[in-house]
Amino acid sequence: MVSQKILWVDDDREILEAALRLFRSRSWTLVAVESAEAAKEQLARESFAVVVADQRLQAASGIDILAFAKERSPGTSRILLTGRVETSVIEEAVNRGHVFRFIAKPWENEQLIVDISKAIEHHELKMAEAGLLREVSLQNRKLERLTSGLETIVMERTLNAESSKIEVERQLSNLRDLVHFIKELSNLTAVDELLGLIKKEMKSFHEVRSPLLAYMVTERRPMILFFQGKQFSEREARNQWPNRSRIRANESEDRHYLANEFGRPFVKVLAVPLKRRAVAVDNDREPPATLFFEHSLADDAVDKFLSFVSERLQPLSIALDRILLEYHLKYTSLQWESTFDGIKDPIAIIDIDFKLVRSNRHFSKTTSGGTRSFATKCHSVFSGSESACRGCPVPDALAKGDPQKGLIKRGTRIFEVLSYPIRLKNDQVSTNVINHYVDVTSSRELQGRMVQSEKMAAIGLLAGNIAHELNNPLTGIRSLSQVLISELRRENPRNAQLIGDIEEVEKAAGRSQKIIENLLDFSKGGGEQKQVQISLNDVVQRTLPMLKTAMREHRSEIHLTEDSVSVRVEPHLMQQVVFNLVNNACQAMPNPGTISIETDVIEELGKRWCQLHVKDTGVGIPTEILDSIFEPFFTTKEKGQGTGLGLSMCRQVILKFGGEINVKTKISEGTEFTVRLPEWKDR
Amino acid sequence: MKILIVDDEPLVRKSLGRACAARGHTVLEASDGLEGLKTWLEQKPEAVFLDVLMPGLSGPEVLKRVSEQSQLTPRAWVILMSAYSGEHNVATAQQVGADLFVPKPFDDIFSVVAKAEELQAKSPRAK
Repeated sequence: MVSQKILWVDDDREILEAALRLFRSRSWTLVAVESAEAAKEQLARESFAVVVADQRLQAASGIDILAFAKERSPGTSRILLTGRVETSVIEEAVNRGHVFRFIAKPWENEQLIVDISKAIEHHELKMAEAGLLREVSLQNRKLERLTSGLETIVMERTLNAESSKIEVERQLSNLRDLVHFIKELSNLTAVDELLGLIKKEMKSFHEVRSPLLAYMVTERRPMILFFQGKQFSEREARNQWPNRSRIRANESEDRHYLANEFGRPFVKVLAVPLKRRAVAVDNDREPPATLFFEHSLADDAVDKFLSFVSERLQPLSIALDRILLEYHLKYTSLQWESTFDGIKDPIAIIDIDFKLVRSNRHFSKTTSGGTRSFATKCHSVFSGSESACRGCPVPDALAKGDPQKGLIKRGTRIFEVLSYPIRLKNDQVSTNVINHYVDVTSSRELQGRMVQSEKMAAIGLLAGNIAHELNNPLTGIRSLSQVLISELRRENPRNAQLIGDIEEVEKAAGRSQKIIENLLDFSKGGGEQKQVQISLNDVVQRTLPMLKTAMREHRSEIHLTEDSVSVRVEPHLMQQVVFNLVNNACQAMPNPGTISIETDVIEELGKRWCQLHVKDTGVGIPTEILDSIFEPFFTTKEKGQGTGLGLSMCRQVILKFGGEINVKTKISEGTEFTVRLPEWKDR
Repeated sequence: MKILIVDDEPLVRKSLGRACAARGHTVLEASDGLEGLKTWLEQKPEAVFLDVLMPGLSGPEVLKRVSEQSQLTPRAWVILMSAYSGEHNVATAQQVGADLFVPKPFDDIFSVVAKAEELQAKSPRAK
């Protein structure tokens, strides 16, 4: 227990010393002061359990000090020490000083100790009471505070809980929306679908109009996709949109771009670039695909919208990327496909079993469609043949592992086949080849014609020399015959026999000259000759002498029309046509038959045609090869017997002169070729 | 008229010579260019039938030599003959100094002789 402090005020030193002596053995602390001032000073400085004051001090009353003490610390027990007890003093002490006890002087020591003890007890009681009260009121206040705080907390907590539930729900639904959006995105296959989805996604923003998408397709083509009403519309962009990688709100650059693109003002525009991710764009010159939103959002709503868009930016970019990549792949594959299909030469990949792995359109014999079914044999598609084509270089190419060349036939066409083995790895044996087929029919035909015309040129040169050598003696023979005839008529006119014989010589020489002349005409190969007007009959007649040998075995019927059969041709070429046709006709008859050569004129659709018919009674032409007879290199003769160029040359020549050549045939009965040329009139 | 025939084909020389003789002309013959040149310069004919292609000197070469080696004025009428009808025509014959061109083979030997006579009648070439 704390030692209680007691203040004793008395101007009598002896009394103070007596009190000090008395209290020394106690646990109390006595502060003894002699004046009222000192007492007040002490009271102001510290608190005391008991204050004892002498009633009669030199300059003051003890009651004043006690009244001061009461004011200062009401819990202090106050004791008045008095010599005589007067009623007025008691009254004042009780009223002003609220005195706890009166102690009379001189005091009984024991009584004084009891009184002081009681005063201390009283003080302690009072103090405890005050402490308790204070405690209670403090607790009360605390409690009050607590109560009111609790209510707020409860209220706050309740609010928090509710709002966080909403928040969670909102976030959840946002996430759900986002997941749904991403799912939908992943199903898209076209850019317009993407734009449609964006429009749907943005429909809660009423102030935002349908989106526009500017993007690059393959080959750097800038496209712009937009809504026209509910329909999509797409076209090539006139200009390139701003090349910016950040999201922009209402920037003039974007407004100008759209205004130029659509020819109308755009007041407020949001631009959201969708960066390509999957494909590294090789440079920054290409602007990223950009979504444009025309809108009438208030400034504070723009942020909300943009954050909505931003949340979707990544999946959107990825989806667009994927779609464009698919476009590109499709485009590339289509490009390759059409490239290959566009090549007129057949091209195919063929495996070791002649199975067709892949081929272009022209590979198929029918060309109607690229037969690309697997497990089909190449030869059956290429030429309709059951077995490998003769001359196929594929086995050789696979065996040797090097490109090989070969010649194969498809119908009447000749193809040079180049087989390139495909090697996947250097050490691997190749099992596939790329076959490139080049139709060499024309070039071989050309080559054949060149050889032919070189031959003709050589013949021409030879014929020219022979003609000169023959012409001289023939001139002599004929001229001398003429001289002899003239002399005989003059000198021996009666020897008609001799004259007639010499006339025969003269005529024979004349015919020989004619033949030589024709031979010279016929062999005028090489350079282009002039087209001239000539009678078809003349052409026939000039050619016939050269066909005598061929026609020798057969009966010939020659009916040349009396009508004018004037045509415009190069005579030597036309002679070659007649020669080829008659020669063929003769060869078509293994046994002696009849060859008839006729000319006539017909009128068809107001046009007059001069016709030449060459008819034999030969074997006829089988139907299956009838389509091919005018094809170059088509020949039924043994190798080395014919070039296969005769009829193809005839057709070419006749077409050149604006005519046509036709054939009628019947097996075992014969064939008739008809050449018709437009009648030529002098103009 | 004195006519020289230069041709390496004997039958041509013979027939043409006989046709000329039959018309009353004097006929000289040469079987190649060199001989033709010699006879021409020695005998001074009024008309010459000259073949183009011959061993030794060709017809045009003979013509050229005659112009170079003699001062014969007026020179004899020259009728160039050739079996290569494509090689010469009247125009090219005149370029080499001939007066006429006759392609071989002849259709009628007498018309050939008549051509020489026509030329001589128009403007006689005397010695």
